[in-house]
Amino acid sequence: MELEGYRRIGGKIGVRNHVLFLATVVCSNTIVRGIATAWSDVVGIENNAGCVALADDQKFNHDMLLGLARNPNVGAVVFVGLGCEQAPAKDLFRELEGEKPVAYVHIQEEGGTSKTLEKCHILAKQFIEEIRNKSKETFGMDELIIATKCGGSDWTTTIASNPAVGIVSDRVVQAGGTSLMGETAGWFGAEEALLRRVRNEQTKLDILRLLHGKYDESERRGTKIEEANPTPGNIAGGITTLAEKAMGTIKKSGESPIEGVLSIGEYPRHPGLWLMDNPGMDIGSISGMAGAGAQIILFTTGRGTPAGSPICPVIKISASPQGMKLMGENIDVDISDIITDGASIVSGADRIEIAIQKVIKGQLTRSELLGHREFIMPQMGVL
Amino acid sequence: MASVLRLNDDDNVVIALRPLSQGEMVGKNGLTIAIRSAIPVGHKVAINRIPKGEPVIKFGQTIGYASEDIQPGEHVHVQNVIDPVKNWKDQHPLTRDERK
Repeated sequence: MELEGYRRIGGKIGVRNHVLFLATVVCSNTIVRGIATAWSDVVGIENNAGCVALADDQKFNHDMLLGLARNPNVGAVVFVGLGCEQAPAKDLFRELEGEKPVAYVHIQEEGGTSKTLEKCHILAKQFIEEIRNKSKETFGMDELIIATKCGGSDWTTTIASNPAVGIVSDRVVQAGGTSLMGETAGWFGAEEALLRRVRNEQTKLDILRLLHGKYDESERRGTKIEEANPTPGNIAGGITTLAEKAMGTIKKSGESPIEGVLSIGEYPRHPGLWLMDNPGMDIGSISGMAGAGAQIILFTTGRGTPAGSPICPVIKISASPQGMKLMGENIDVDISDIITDGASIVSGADRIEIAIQKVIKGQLTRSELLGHREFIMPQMGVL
Repeated sequence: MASVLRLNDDDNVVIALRPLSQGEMVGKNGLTIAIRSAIPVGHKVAINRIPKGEPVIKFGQTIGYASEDIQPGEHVHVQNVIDPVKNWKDQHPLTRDERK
C-alpha cells in the first residue's frame, strides 16, 4: 500500500493535519469549545478531569494530554489551562516545544474568559495559516499505526468483522507497521491465547498484573468478572462462556506476536502488535488510542454506533445485516455479505484495507462527515 | 445464502447465520447436518459428536467443555457446556513478588 501523509518534526507521519485546542483541565472547556465552534479548521478536546485527582488519574491526564498533542494527526496544538491545575498548560508546552507548532494560555494569566478567547482567536488564525499549506509525502505500511476496537457488538462482530479486522492487523504488522488493541477488561477469558503470543516473559507478567488489578478493583466494587460475564444479553445472542466472548473480542488483534503492554497515554516503542491498557467503554477506549499515537482507528460494530474522535479518523465496519439497515449512515465498510451471501472473511479484510487507503488519501469517514468528535479522559475505576 | 459459518478447520461447532428449524438439513462442501432443535441466529450447532468432558472448539480455540454427550446437529449452549472459568483469580495466580 502506498500512502500519503504529513511528516512531522522527529519523523512521525500523520494522516490528518489538525489544529488542536486542548483543555488541560475541565475549567478550560468553555474556551476550547468557543474556539472550535468559531473556526472550522480547529478541533477542540474538552477535558472531563485534570485537577484534584489521585496519583494514577493525575498521571493518566498528564500522559494523555501529551500523547494527544504528540499524535501525528495533529499539526499544531494550543494547551488551554486555568493556571493552577495539576498538569499546567505551560509545563505541557515546555515538554512539547520543538516537536510541532505549540502554544499555551492560562486563563488566570490572561485575565479571564474574554481576554483568553481573544488571544486564542489570534493563535487559531496563526496556526491555521502556518500548517494549512503543508504538503503530503508518500509513506508505506511500515509507518502505519492502526488501533482496533469493537463496540455495539452483536453476534456478527465476533465471527465476521473482528476476524476481518484481525487479518488487516496481521497484514499491517507483517508489512512492518504497528497495531494497537485495548479494552483490557475484554481480555478476561482469553488470557491464555494472549499469553501464548507474547514476545517475552515481562509482557506475560504485565498482562497478568493488569488483569489482577482490574479483577481486584472490580471485586472491591461488588462485581466478580466471571459472574458478570457473559451477560444475559450475550447468552441470548449465542455467547456461551466468558472464554468465547473474550476470544471473539481479541480476534481483532489477529495472530501476530505481542510486543508489549502500554499504559494509558504511552506510545509503542517499536512497530508490531501492542496491547494497551484502556477502558472498554467506546469513547474512553478510542480516546486512549488517539493518546497513544494511532493514526487510524478500525471500529467494528454490530448494532451500529456513531462514535468518532477529534483527531483520528474512525473507520466503522459492520457485518450485521440488521445493523446496516438501521445504522448504515454511520458505517463506512459494509461486509454483511459475509453473513448473507457467504462472502469470505478475507474479502472483508480486503475491503477494509481499501477503505484505509481512501481515508488516508483524504476521504472523510462517516464519523468525520457527521461531526462526531467525542472524547473522554480515561480514568481509574472505569472498566 | 449460506445457513451456517465454520470459522476454523479445527472447530466442532458452526454458527447459524439465520434461524434454523428442527429437522432441517444444512451445510455445504460435503458437510451436511440434520438440525435436532430450533437454533436461534448467531448460536452454535455441533457438527461432530462431542463426548462429555471434551472441548467445544470455536475460532480454533477451546471455549468450554461438554457437560454431556453432544450429538451432531444439537444446539451447543449453556445447557450442555461448562464454562472453564470458575474463579478467575485462583486459575491465574500471581506470587507476592510478581504482584509488585
